[in-house]
Amino acid sequence: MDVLGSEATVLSVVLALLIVVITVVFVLRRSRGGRSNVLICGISNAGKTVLYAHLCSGKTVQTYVSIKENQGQFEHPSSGKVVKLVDIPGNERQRMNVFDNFKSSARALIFVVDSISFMSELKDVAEYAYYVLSDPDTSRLPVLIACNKQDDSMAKSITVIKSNLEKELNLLRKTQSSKLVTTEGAQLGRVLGSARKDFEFADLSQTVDFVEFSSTADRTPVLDWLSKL
Amino acid sequence: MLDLFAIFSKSGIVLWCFQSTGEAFTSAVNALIREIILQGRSFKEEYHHDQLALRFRMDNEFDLVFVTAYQKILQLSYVDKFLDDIQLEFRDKYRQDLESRNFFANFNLDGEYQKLLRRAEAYGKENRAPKMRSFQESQKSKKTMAALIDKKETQKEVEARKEPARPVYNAEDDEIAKNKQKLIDRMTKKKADSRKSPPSNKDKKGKKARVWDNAGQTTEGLDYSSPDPASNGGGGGGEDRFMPQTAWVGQARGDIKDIDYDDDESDEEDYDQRAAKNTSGVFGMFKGLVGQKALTRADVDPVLEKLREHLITKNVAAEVASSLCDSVALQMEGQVLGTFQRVASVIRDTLSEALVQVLSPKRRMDLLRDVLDCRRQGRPYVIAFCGVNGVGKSTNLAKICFWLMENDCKVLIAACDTFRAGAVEQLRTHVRHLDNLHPGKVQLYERGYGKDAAGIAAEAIGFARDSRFDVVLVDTAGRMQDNEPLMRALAKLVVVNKPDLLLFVGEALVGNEAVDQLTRFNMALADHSKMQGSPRLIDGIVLSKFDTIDDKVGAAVSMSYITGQPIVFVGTGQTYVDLKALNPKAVVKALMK
Repeated sequence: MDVLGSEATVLSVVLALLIVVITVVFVLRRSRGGRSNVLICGISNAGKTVLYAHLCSGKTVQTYVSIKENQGQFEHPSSGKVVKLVDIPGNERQRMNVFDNFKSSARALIFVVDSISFMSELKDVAEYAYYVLSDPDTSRLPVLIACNKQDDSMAKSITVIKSNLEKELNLLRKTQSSKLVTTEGAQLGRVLGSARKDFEFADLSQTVDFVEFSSTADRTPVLDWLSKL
Repeated sequence: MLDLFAIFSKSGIVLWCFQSTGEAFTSAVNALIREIILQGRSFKEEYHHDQLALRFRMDNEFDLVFVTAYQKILQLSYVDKFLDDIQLEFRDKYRQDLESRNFFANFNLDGEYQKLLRRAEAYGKENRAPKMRSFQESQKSKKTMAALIDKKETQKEVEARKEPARPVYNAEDDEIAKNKQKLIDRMTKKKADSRKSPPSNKDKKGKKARVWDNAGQTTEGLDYSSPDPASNGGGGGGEDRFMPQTAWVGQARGDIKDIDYDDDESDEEDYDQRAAKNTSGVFGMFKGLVGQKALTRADVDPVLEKLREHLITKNVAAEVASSLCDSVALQMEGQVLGTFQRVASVIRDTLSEALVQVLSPKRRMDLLRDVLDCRRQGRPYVIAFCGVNGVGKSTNLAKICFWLMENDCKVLIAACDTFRAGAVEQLRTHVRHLDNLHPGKVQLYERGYGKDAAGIAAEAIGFARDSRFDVVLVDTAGRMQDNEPLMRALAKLVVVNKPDLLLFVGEALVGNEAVDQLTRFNMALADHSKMQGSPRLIDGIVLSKFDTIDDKVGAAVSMSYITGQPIVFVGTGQTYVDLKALNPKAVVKALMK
């Protein structure tokens, strides 16, 4: 009788434990499922939608200014891994708002830069990069800065883009520093990079990679990066 | 003769396009999207870009845009019909792909395009030259004596005939949606209904009596008669009684702060709505069972009419409110609602989204960054202020000056108001006060009264370049928008000096007048500039007296809608530190409350 009783309690304890474990696993799955999107951002005419279309369908498409986000799935050709992609519109009026809508579901960021007109658009690129990188919601995510349109002979190389962006972001840290304190929500003064020295991407809390690619010709660097996620 | 016809998704992917010439139309279409669709002006029928005229249709059910371009000089009467026809044809042909949002299918409309175009052209020809009516067909033939006698009767008849044609809003649909929502609530035992909780909150909040700082309870703060021991008693009389408010120093450093609203309640609402959205996922499977409905103009109009009135009570100019609502209506028409969404709340959300879009700047606005850029080029950054009388140009100029000084800029103020008595003295007082707070960072450039403002500004800029000032703030005389000679003088000042930033100072109190002021200012600048290419227009707005309007923040929307320019600064009080930046989301929240 006693033996049977203890066996029953053991069984019930085991069952209870099992249920707890299952729910924990389930909840973890759910919460991880909440962060499943790879966001493609960047300023207007950087080539985000073309890259998105290529990854999702393998087709080269003609595009106009997006006024709505693209959402789709990308299946990696070699590993078969499936990634959800969101292409955020790049026009000035929408990019921050749409980014805010999707940032909590982001798992990684691809920041597309137009390498041909980079120098003339430097200030805009840097401002948006600052906005994206300084957001506390995305502070631990891997970031890929993808320098697009490298098939053109006028395209700037990675080193030029990286050093100029760092210089510009260093200036922006000064001019925009108090924005961190006063926007809605209680985000407390997060200084981008290390406050004691000039800004470098290496000092950021997120890992930032740079690649050169062309969304119409050679997209392997982006594919490689996506497969590493 | 259409030069371009393209079908693209709202997310920017071109599904199919036809070009009759090798010209690149991308820039024209992009301009259309930026200028018209993104600025809430979708109600405009035609958009002109260089030599082209563009027309478009939005299909909200499948998130598509149909656009066509032709030479501006051609008066094509069939374009509208053609767009309608081809929209129907395309939707029918690729319904399955479109429903699953597959924008990468092989879309091909070659045959249909030619056929429909020919049909539309024929239709256009028929309608172009209306046949003359014969006498028998005309109204006059029916005008007998008898008809003239019982004229009243016919009038009534006509009205009666018109009546049923008018779209009548069917309240039943909304009722059904409401009942469905109730059903879900009961099933999920979810107590906090997103739509029911706010009213109870609002009741609690009510309207609070405004407490003015010196509302007359005591006179302690106002009694200045006893000599202040801190102030230096000697000489100078009233002028030197100023005590530098050193407590302000350092407060305005860094970027301009956003305006805060106590919006906890609406935040809760947001969370509730998000929660409600999540639950709708559980019931997603019912979607197939309970049919979906597409919105028609008749569903949308009554709701928008209410929202339009609401906007007007919040001080949005009537014209602006109407055009915003019209473009939202175009965005809503044909959209398919989720089974458990209510028409009113969806329209509300779309309108707030459109409002946020209008208020978000369409270009980078980082003044300090640009100042640094100019410093590197060895020239001063020039900001000119304009506006009608008494809106607070000089006061806001002084506030902006204080903010710039806090951020390590050397500022020169050019007194170009050579018109109003006391204008220069006012600036002199400001400069003395500011100089007390940050010694050696500000200077006044004055040349007295009755001189040419443009000339003084030019001299001031030259002086600033030589003495290494970072910023020149040009104060101009206030002028009414219909004062022709003064407007001409302003245009001259702008053309001669080419300021980096031309700020229009406007009161937040202004209602319908805002439209007139801004359009007339812009028109005057365009008319008198006499330059080739695009004239220099207002490229930023300062909204003054924002502390006096409580939640009637409509002027912000009116002004940025009319000019398409951002609101750079907001003046929120009397002191130098009362300068803020606009937070679009907070303003829209206050507006939609």
